[in-house]
Amino acid sequence: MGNWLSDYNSELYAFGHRIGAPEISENEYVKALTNESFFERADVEEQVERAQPGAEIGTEHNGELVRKGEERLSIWLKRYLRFHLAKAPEELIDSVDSHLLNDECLAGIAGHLGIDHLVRTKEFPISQQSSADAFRALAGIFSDEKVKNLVIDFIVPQLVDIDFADIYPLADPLAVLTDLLKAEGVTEIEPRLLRSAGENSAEPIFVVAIYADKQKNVGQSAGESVTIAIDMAAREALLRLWNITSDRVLFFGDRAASVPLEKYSEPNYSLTKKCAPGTNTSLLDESQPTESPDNLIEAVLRYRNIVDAEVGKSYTKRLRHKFSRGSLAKRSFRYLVKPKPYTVA
Amino acid sequence: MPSVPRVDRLKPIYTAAKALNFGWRFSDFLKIPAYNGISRYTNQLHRITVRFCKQSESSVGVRNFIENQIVEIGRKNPSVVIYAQPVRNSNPSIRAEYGNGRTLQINAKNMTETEVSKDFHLLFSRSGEPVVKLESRQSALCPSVQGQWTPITWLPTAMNTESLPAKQFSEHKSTATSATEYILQNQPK
Amino acid sequence: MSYRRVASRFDRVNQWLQFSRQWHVIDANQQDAELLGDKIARYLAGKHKPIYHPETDCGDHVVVTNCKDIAMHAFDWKHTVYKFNMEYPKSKADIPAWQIHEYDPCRIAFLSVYRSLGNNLLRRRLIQRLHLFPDSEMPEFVRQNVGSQLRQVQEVVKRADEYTSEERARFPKVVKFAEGHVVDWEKSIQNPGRHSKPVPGQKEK
Repeated sequence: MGNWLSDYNSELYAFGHRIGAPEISENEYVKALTNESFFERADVEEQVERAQPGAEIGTEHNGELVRKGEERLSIWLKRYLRFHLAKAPEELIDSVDSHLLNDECLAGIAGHLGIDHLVRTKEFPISQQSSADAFRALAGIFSDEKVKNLVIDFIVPQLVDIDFADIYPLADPLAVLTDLLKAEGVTEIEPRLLRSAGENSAEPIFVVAIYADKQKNVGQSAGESVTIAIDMAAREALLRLWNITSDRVLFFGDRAASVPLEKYSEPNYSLTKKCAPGTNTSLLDESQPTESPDNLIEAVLRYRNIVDAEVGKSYTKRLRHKFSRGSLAKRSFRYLVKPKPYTVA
Repeated sequence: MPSVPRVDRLKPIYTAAKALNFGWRFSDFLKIPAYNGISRYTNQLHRITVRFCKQSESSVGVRNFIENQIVEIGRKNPSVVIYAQPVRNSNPSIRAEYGNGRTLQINAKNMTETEVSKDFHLLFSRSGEPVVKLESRQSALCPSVQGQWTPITWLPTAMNTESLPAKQFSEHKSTATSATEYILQNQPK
Repeated sequence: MSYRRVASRFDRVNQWLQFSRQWHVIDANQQDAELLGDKIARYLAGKHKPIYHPETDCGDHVVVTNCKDIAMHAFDWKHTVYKFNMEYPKSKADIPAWQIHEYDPCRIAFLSVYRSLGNNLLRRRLIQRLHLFPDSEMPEFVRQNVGSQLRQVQEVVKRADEYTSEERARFPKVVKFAEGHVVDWEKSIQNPGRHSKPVPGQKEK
């Protein structure tokens, strides 16, 4: 049930107010919201009268603005991230930045702002990339202050829902952790098994903690196997080292706007440089689906070969309390056969 | 005349509506579109269309509303586009389109001007999310402050190092004093 | 709050931990069968967990050792009668607990727990997580599985001959006894064995 009524100029005016920059002229908005493919549209090419939403309004497209806006958004976002994650390496900041400014996220924000109705493009429905590009182009036409507001108001709130361990999944977190702790002066880093239950079952659980100098618990986690638990404990230790804990406070709105973010333009330390040269600081390849950690076939075979051989079947399968003494033909009278424990129990 | 009489039963309508993607849902957790309000609050209403008939009596309230109040509302909310669409021989209605792509329609037939104004302002305050019964009145980003319970939260840490079964974890503890303990505590002279 | 919270790897392991199945071990030595059965049934069902729900299947495994030393109150070994086969008319078999215990040392513990689980559809599944051993020996794979120990239900009392003479001397004298008064047996008496009724015609030894 769409509204076929659409006055482009009114929509632009309203959009300017919605995004918080009504002072910018209409022509600039039109330029930012015009996709390159618009001029290839059949009706625009032939200069059809009253082609929606009107080729006569603007003749430039937003290609250059997209590039400019992308840079500016990234600069401000990284400044914000560096302020909050002061102890995190630059690679993590880059990861978060590229994740929050990817096409999918920006297209979502653009959709909720109503950009999808305003973008002039050939494709219908609008593609994710065009929608995201339009948002980037807007950052291209805004003033620096307004771009900062754009980042703080629309991009940064997504941080509440992301998990930093998934955004920056190191392939070998324990090695990286060891290097970082050694740089801080810790001599011994060892993972220790705190709890375990059901080791030889289908649902094992292991709780592992990583101890520094046999004293301090730097990271703890559970897992389906010892390897998984150690891996997760190392990731938790790294996040704790970088002060990315669940009790962190992120600044939003006015509180964030009042912070002098320009002072955080210098990149944080580089993880590859800080770690030893042999340490693997690459990320996991998340595009391939990983194997499920449960060991069902192994558990079944173990049950059949080892467990069953030793303890046999469970009582309910072994006993038949409501026993039947046999068919009518085989049953003898009760007074003749006194039930004994070894016949009934 | 169909062979099986078509009777509108409530049950199939209910189950069908539950399956609809765009239909109304009965209950859900509180949802906000696009993290609105965390940093900045933007009005999720993008455009409102008032459809009315210039002639019929049912659109009187809507017509009066358009004459008297609509310009003021438009001035106060510059981020919303308001369309007034005259349609012949139709029921007057107000259609609102929101940021999440949903459209709401309110039938304004035989409404007075004040009623139309009330509904108009209601649409300004909504976010486009469907009206649902809340599963919970509480909604928080942080699910737990003290930490969620796990089977190992209250397990004594001394059990880690011992090989089970061990005697010190097996002993029965009781607040009642046994006779032996009583005598040992109150030694006779 | 918003739509987009995706389950992270930490969410996965934390959920696995929260709903993990524990393996408890409990010693049945000198424990009343009924009380022990109630406690074990509670852990098998998962009622000790704040996340309990009967449909969640959140129960734990329980390993019971020393089942042969399980105890019963007063004359219950004689009076507790287990009924078998109520299926057909005139085919009831009533067997006292002591006979069952003679035949299978773990069976009394099993029947007690089975009863405590309630008369419902869940108990057939929950009882499969109960592992009974007559003494303190158990297979290695069970011993490795165990993660926690449960407290006993009753106090374990020492037999008279288990007290050393130092302990006896240390205990405060409440009553003044005459010389040569026999306080307690220092040695246990030999078990006279099961009484067997003499066959008619045979003389009792």
